[in-house]
Amino acid sequence: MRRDVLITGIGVVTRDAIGVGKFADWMANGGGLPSSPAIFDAEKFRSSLAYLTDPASVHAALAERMRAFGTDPEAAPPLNCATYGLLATLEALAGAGLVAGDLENAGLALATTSGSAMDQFAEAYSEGLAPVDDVLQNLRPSSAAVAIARTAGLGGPFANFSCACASSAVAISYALSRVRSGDAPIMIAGGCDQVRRADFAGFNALRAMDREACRPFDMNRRGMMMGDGSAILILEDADHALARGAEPFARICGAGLTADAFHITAPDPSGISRAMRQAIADANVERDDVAYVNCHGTGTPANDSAELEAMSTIYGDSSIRPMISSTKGTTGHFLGTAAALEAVVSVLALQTRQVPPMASTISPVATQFPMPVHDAPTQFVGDVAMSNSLGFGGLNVSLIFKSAPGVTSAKASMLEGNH
Amino acid sequence: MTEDIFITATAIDLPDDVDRLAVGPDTAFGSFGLRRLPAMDSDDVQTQRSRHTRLSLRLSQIIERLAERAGLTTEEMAGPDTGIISGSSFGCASVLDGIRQQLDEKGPRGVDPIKFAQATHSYPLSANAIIYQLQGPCAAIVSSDAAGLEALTCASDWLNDHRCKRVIVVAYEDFDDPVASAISARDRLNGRIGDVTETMVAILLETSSTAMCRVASPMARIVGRSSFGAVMTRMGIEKAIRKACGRHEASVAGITLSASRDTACRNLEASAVDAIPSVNGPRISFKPGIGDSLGCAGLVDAALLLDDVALSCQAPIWVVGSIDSEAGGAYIGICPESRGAV
Repeated sequence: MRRDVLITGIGVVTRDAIGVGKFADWMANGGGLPSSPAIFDAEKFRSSLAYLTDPASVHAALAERMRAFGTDPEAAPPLNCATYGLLATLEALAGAGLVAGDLENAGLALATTSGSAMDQFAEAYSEGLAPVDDVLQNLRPSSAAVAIARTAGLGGPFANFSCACASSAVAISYALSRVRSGDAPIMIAGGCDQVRRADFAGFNALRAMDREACRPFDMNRRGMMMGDGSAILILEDADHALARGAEPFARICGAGLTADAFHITAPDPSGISRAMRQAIADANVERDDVAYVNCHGTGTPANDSAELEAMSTIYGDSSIRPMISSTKGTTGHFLGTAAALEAVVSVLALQTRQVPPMASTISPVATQFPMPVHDAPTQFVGDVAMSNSLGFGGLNVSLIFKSAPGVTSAKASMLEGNH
Repeated sequence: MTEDIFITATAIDLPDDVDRLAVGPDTAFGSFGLRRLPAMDSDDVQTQRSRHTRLSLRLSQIIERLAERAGLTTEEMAGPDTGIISGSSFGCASVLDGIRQQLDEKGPRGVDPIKFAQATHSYPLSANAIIYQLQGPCAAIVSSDAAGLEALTCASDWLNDHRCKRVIVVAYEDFDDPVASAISARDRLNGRIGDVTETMVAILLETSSTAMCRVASPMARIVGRSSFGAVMTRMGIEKAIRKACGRHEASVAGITLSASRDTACRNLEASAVDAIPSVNGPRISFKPGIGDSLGCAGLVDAALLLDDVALSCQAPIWVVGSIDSEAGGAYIGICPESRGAV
C-alpha cells in the first residue's frame, strides 16, 4: 500500500535569502540583480555575473541553528556546500517541529553537481603539496550528505544523486519512494551546491550564459545565470506527521522520470512531455487539475522553446491552461539544487495561490499559457502544481505537489516569523 | 500491485590479476594496493566521433555483453521501457578534475565545451542512453560504498511504480587521476589496508511479466532490500539484514559479508549476523580474491555469486550487503532460480 506523503518542513539558503520567509519575500518582490562572485575572480570570463552565495554570510546563521539543534557549532563541516546544506536542513527540521531525537529512522536523499574537496586535493597534488586532513576526509561527492546525515543523527536510508541539473528532482523522487513504501517515516531531500570556477568556465565555454540577466520565456533571452546555495524539503509519512501534530506545507504526490535519448545538451520535447504525463498519472490527478507549472526555464533559446513545445503537446487540445513561469530569472540556475529550490517555490505558490513575478521577462514570447506579470505576484486558481527539471544528456523529471488540507495559518505565521 | 523483480543477466569487468574464485569466510587484508582495469582507447577516431569517454565506452561494451547474456538485442532494449542507473562511490574522475585542469592550463577561453558537457557523473549513462535509445528513467548515484545497492533500490522503485519494465543497474569506480591518488591518500590517513579495485559491473532487472513475456531464464528473484544511514548500530544492521530476507526470514540464508576494510564496521556486521538465527547458511566474502571495489561491492558480490551456480545453490536465500563506514549501508535478499525459463 502506498502511503500519503506530506512536506512538513522546508529550508532555503540563497545569495539573497537565508530562510524561507526571506526567500518568499525576495521572490514576491521580483528579486534583484546578479553580481560578481565573492569566491573567485570572474572578470576574465565572457559572462561574469551570477547569484552565488557568499560562504561568509552563512556562518553566523549556521552557528545559531546548530546551537538550537543541540550541536556544537565548532563541528560545522569544512565544505562550503555542506554548510549551505546543513543550514537549510536545520531550518527545515525546525519548521517541521523535529528535534535531534526524532530522527533515528529518518533518511537523506541529497543532490550535488560536483561538490567535494577534490578541487583542493587536485590543486595540492599538482603542486606536490600534502593536502590537509579535512580535504582527505571530504573527497567524495557525497561529503556534504555525509556531514548532514551525521550532524542530524540520521539512521535511515542514505543516497546522494548527481544527474546534472535534474539531480535534486531525482533525489526528491527517491525520497518519495522511501516514504511511500514505508522504508522511512521521514526523508530529508534536496540539494546543496557551490559553483566552482570550473563550472563557471564550462557554462561560459558552452555560451549558455547571458552577460546581463537571465530572461526566461522572453523574446530577448540569451541564456542562463548561475546561482548556488541549498534547498531542503522534509518528506514525511502522512500518518506519522498527523500523529505528532505536524502541520504540513503541502503534499507531494507524483513524479515522472524519463530520458530523451536524443542529444547531450539539446533537449527533446517528447522526453519532457513523457515525464510530465508520467508524473500526472503517478499523482492520480488529471492534466487539467494542474494549476501552475514551474518550468525548468533556463532562459536559453533551446530549453525554453523545447519546454513550451512539450507543454503544448500535453495541453494542445485543452481549453484549460495552467499558469507557467520560470523562477531562474530571479534566483539564478542552482544546477543540481535547482529542482529542490523550485520545489520550494511550487510549495510556496500553493500556499499563497500566487506565482512570483518574472522581473527580467519584460517582453514575453507568446506561450499560449498564462504567465505572471513582471512587476507583481499573480494569482492562480487551483491546488495542484508541477515542477519540471531537465539535465544535460536529456534527463527529465517532473514532480507534482498538492495543497494539503488544513494548511494554515500556523505555518503561514511561522513563515512570517522568519522574515 | 507490485510484481516480482528478477535479475536476468550480469556482466562484470574486473582487473586481469584478480582471483574471482578466492572466496573466503572473511577478509584478511595485507598491504594497500590499487588494481586498475585494462586501459581503454577512448581517443581513437571512431570513439571520438561517437563522443565516448573512457567510462562511457566501457559502459557501452558492458551493456552489449549484458544484453547478449540476457538473450536480448540492443534494439529490443530501446524505448521508454528500459531505464538505466549507476552507483559509484567517487564518480567520474573527469567531473572532479578535467575542466579545472584545462582552466589552469589554458585560461577561461581555453575550456573545451564538449569536454564540459561530458563532465557530469551521469554522462556515461546519458551517452549510452542516446546510443541504445534507452528512454526510461536515467539517474546517477554518487554516494558511498553501498552505491551499487542503492542504485538497485532506486531501480526497483522504478519497476514497482511502473515507470519502466527493465533497468540496467550499473556500478563502477574510475581510478583515473586524481581519484586514484585521492583514495591512496585517504586510506593512508585512515589506516586502511587491503587492495582497492577498479571495477564495472552491470545487472539487468526485469519485472516478472516482462521476463515471462520473452521466456527469459532468470538468475534470481529479489526478495527484499533495505538500507540504513550514517548513524550505524548493531541493531540497525540486524534489522536491515532481516528486512532484506523479506518474508523468507525463516529460511536458511547465506550471506556475502560486506567485509568492510573498516574494523568497527566489520565487527558490527559480524555481531549483527550472529544475532539472526536464520542466517545460518554459508558466510562468504569475495574480497580476499578481488579486493574492495568500493561502490561496486554489493553488485559485484551479487553478480559473482549468481555466476557461480554451485555456490549460489548452497542456500535458498542469499543476503548481499555493503557497508560504508561514513554513510551507512544496504542489503538485498536474493533467491537464486534454477536457470529454466520463467
